[in-house]
Amino acid sequence: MKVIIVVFSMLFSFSLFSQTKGLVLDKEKNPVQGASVLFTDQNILVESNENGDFSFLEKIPVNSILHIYKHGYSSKLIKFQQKEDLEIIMDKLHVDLDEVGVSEFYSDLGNIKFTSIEKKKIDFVQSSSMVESITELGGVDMISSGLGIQKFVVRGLSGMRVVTYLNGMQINNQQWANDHGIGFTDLGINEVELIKGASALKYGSEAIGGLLYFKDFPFTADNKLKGFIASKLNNSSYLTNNQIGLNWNYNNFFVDFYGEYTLSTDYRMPNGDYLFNSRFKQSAYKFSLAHRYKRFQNIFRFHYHQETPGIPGHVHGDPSLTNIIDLSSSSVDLENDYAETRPNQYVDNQLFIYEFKYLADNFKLSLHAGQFINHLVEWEKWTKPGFDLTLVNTQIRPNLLIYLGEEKNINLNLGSQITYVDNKNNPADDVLTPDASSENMAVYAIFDYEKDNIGLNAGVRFDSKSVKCDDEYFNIYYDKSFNSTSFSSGIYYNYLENNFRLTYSGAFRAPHFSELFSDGVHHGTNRYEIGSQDLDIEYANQIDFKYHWANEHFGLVFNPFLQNITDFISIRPNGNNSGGYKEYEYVQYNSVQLRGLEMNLHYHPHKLHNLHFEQSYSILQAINNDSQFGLAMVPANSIKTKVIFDFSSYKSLVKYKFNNISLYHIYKFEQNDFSEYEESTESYNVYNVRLSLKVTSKFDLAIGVNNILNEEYTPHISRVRGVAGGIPNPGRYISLNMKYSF
Amino acid sequence: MITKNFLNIAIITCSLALFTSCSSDDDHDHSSECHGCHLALPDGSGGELMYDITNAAGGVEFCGNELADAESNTFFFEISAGDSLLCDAGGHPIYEGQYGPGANDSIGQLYEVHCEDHGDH
Repeated sequence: MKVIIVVFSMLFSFSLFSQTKGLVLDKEKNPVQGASVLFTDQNILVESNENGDFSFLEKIPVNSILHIYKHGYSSKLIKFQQKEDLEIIMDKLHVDLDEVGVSEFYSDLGNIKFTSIEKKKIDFVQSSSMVESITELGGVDMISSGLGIQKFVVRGLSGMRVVTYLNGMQINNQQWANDHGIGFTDLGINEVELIKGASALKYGSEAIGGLLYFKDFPFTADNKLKGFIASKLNNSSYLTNNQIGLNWNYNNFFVDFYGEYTLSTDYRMPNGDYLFNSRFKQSAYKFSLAHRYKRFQNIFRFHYHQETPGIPGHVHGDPSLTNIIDLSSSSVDLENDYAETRPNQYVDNQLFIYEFKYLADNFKLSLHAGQFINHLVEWEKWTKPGFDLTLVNTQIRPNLLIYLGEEKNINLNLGSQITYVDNKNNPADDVLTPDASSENMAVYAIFDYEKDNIGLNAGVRFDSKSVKCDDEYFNIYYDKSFNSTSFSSGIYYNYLENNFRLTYSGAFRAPHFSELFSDGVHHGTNRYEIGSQDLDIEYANQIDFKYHWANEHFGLVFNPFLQNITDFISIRPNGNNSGGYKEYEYVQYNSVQLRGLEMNLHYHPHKLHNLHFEQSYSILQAINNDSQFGLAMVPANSIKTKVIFDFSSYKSLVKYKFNNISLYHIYKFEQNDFSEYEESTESYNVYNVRLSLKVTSKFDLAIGVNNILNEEYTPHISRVRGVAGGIPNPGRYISLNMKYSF
Repeated sequence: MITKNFLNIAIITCSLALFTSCSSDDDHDHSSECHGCHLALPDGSGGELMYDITNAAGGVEFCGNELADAESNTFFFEISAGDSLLCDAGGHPIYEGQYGPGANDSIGQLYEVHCEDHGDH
């Protein structure tokens, strides 16, 4: 009984310790209300009140990072040093370039001054889909076939080379195939951080293309129940997406719950026909529980995600010879066409996470343990699955961050990552990849030094990965280790409003099960795929330079990069057919080079501060030194432009609830660099417009028209680019997004 | 304050009811469904020839166990002596014999049985 009393008194303890208090002011010393103050180590968010005051239940450790931000102000990162209360002065800002690294922000991935880290807020009301909104960032594209199957391409690389983390857990969901989505939805997700290229040392050497790190909303601390309900509708695929979120806290206890259900039928193409079987269904639930006690913090998370995407553009034989008429319908029947049909996938994902932190003044100790279970079944027949795979990914990541030096301006990160992946086949009609497993042990050390306006960083990581396969069906016995070192180093220098950063990094990737052992028809890609057990490690080295400059009205980012990859693993046709499908085999190219330039501009006219003009240029060249052809699935160069007009200072419009209007335009150049099994792709323009209304302080609504000109286009990296000469993306459609917060 | 709390509870209750009612239909057992099936033969130039087939009673739809049989690796469709079957697009007749993965000759085994749906065009 005594034990129970002690435990409860610990869990529900009203803090007897002093609080962390602060005041947020603008330059004229006026209080700033509604500024978000994120206690980054604690992952807890509080807001300043009408007096600019904010408080947190406990005194936080010295050297804790606070991220203070509010729309219209320059965000601030503060290292908590003093015992006294904080006074934070926020500068009004017209140029807000946080997504391309001009404003300061906190990142879980590392110090943004050393590494090219970009961030994107996930806004349910302002976007058609999470993946689409992230592709507004320069250098980011998506492989898709409608809203049902969408996945990321970063600087021309995708699949196993782009690693995804969700709340600190690596997501492994058979992502090697273009018909497998990202494994979760935007439910409860606050933002994504992105590293382009091979610089994600702490989170794995395999992220040669890049790393996407998704984070849930932080826990909120105000001892009240909060939440939202939200809906998305569109008239292309008659999509309905409903979400609910509940956030509650009581003293040291924090609880979040989220739920989602989404239903979509086939999408409408520009000619008015519907792409048969582009329909999908999704449901998701999330539960998070956190407890803080003095310097200890424990978080438990559970995510469940289930989806049933159809596989559109499915053909037997050569997909390029198919007529699109055979793959489409003239209309949809809303009584029947939400129902799943064949071929399709049944995907079931479960994620368990446990995080522990001990926060001291001079060091932080953390332990992250997680398991992601992906159950993927592909159905072509009605009565027996084609494949039935269960992939279990278990990960443990201890990390120690030590603050050194008199000014505590030296950070030393020491850590380890232990990963076990197990791939199992369940009874099905066919098998594409055998039962196999891998174990990866890694240790790393990262050193950061900052003094005045200059900083240096260096890190090294050693990985030892063993891949095992003992499969009677395939008659394979394989046991091989892949050991190598990856590194990252960076330097930055700030001079007035000019910021310079140079990063040089190297990473490697061991071949995946699918590349080593595949032997069968993959209906999702209309190929017969053959792996090679001779494949070895591929190595990447990247040099990335970033210059950014901003004043009150104009911002500029200039980011050239060069990446060399040796022993690049790829797939190419071998000229044979098997069961009516073209055979593709995995090979390694000696040398591949990816080079390009990303540039961002942001402009506010002096006389019209409510007008925001943002533009990004992505230029990428992929060279395969071993072939007259280029690489597969390399996106075309693009110019992305966004113009936003904010109505908030026009009382005559605000009374009609207008909030802002935005116009988004993407111009994709023609793509003439392609692999031997691809074709060139024409250029295209797509325009989207969105009108946002603030109906009440709690109710936001946005009406959008996507693809206003009803442009018929197929992106070069569309999953169905090679089918019937290229199946078009959705034509013009209207969307309605709503969110009510309480 | 009481009104606000009631409103919040009402919103949560309605939302949960909506989620519950929408998410109870996911069942991947389609053994009770009926679907039309066809024989498929690669045409040698990347396409395929399709031949609609009938169930034991002469109907166009295969249901339950009959659907499972049609999709099994032992199924064959038999064309009797004197009969023939034309390709969907016309022509390319096939004559007396067994067709499907369970056929008794290697030519017949080249024919696959597909029962998935297609668009209405």
